[in-house]
Amino acid sequence: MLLEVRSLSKSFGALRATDGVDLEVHEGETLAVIGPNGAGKTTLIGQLAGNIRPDAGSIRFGGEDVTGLPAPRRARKGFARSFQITSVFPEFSALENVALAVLAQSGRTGFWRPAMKDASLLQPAGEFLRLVGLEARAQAPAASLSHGEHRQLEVAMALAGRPRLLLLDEPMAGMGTDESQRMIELLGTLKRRQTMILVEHDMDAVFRLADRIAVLVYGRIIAIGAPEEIRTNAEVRKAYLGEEA
Amino acid sequence: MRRYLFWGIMIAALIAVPPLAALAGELYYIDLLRRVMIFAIAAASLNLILGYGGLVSFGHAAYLGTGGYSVGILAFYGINNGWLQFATAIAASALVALMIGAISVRTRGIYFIMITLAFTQMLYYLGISVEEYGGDDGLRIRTRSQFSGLVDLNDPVVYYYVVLALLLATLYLVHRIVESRFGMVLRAAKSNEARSRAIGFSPYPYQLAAFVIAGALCGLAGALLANHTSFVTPEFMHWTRSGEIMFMVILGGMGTMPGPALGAFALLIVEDLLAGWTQHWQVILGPLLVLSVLFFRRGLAGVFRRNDAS
Repeated sequence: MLLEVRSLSKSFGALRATDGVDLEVHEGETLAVIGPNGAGKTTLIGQLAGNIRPDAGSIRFGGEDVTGLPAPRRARKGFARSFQITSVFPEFSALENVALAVLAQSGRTGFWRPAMKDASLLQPAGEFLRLVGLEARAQAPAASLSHGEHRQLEVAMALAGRPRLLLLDEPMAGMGTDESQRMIELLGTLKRRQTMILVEHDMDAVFRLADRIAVLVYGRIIAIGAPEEIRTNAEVRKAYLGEEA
Repeated sequence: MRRYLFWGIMIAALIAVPPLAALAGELYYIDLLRRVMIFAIAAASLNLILGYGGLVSFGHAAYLGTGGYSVGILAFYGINNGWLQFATAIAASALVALMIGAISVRTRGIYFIMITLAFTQMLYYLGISVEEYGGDDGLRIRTRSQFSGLVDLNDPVVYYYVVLALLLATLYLVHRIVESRFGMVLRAAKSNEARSRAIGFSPYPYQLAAFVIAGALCGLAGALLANHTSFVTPEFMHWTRSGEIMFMVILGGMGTMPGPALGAFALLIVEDLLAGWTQHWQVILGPLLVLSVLFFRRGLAGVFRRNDAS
């Protein structure tokens, strides 16, 4: 068991964004979290990554209680997240963005040697850019990348941290059909090698990628199971999938 | 390549100042430019945390004062060994920066500005209140720092070249730091703090270390300034001094290598020219500064860089 979440709760005033969530993620698994807008998906990711402190409950990661650890410590333990709203280093080139993630993982620092001439940073950074299909844009400032490219860059940065658990918050958000298809293919190639929690609205992506699906409604998990179970679950259909499914 | 040309011309011009000034019989300019370069060192040190680290320290004069008083107080007790004086100035400034930084770097935005300002004002009033070292009147330095007979700071031309060498060394050091792994993390935290936390950096130790390095380098400038004027006063640490140094960085171009030096040159030389022309020079300088910030959005260094691109 890689991740074990027990009765996690978080309220913002009267709003119960996370309401007693229990969740388990196995090594190598892809778990999709779906739910209507405002169901608390991003809040859940925020608590897992350590950006938001839960009011109650516990998070165990690799058998260790990480509930009280801040985001940077969790990142070094093996969490990596992408953000729903693009979050990169806009003044840095695409390659530098990924190199920073490699650097963070290396745990080494230095005051004198130029970082961007260091093969131990550049080589892996270049490989992760290639993996997400951004190698042609390596030298472009991140600020000049298109929306789709930003999403790709986010994934490259998350992967460059060599995480044990990848938290993807709507990686396909705002993407065109072609870009989405490429992202689904990319995530498909990572499946099994990489444990992932995928928050996504794109049902095509969810049903193609997920091993299990958790349905979050008003901060509660109303159903969790294999894609086929979720597709046929009456409660889920009523609450969320509606007529589409 | 244009970049090397720029640096080549700048350095050649600065090297040429003393002989040209001597030729023209205007030795005053050696003095003026030496002062400018000392402030350029201070501005370069502030640029490390302000320009690259995004830490708007409004108390950088604290280290100018700490460095200056380190030299002044040691000289007061008859200790004129320059190696010891300068080592003390740098170490004491680093220590003061560590104490101020340990508290202030945890805060952000306006709080950071106010805390750095408040600490520096505390040091200013400390300087005023300690009568032993001259209080408000300051402390005269009778003998300049002695460097085992290797360099003689009493020779204005020698001192000029010492300051020039230290300025270039400081600019190069800051450049190397900024491009290093450490500098990457520092700049990343400025660029997007949430992102840098998410990939595993805690910005605090990096920002604090940068704050201490900047303090130490500004302490060096303080020691040089004390020798330059043969005098230290609490005015070294006045908040308007902090503002001046900050203005040099902004005018010259935050987060650029030559920016702080360009800013120091522009500000102090315009100030000198106007002061020679009218005693109400500040009335003219103020609007000039406002205009320069409006027109040179990326500072004077940005003007050079734009030429580079075209």
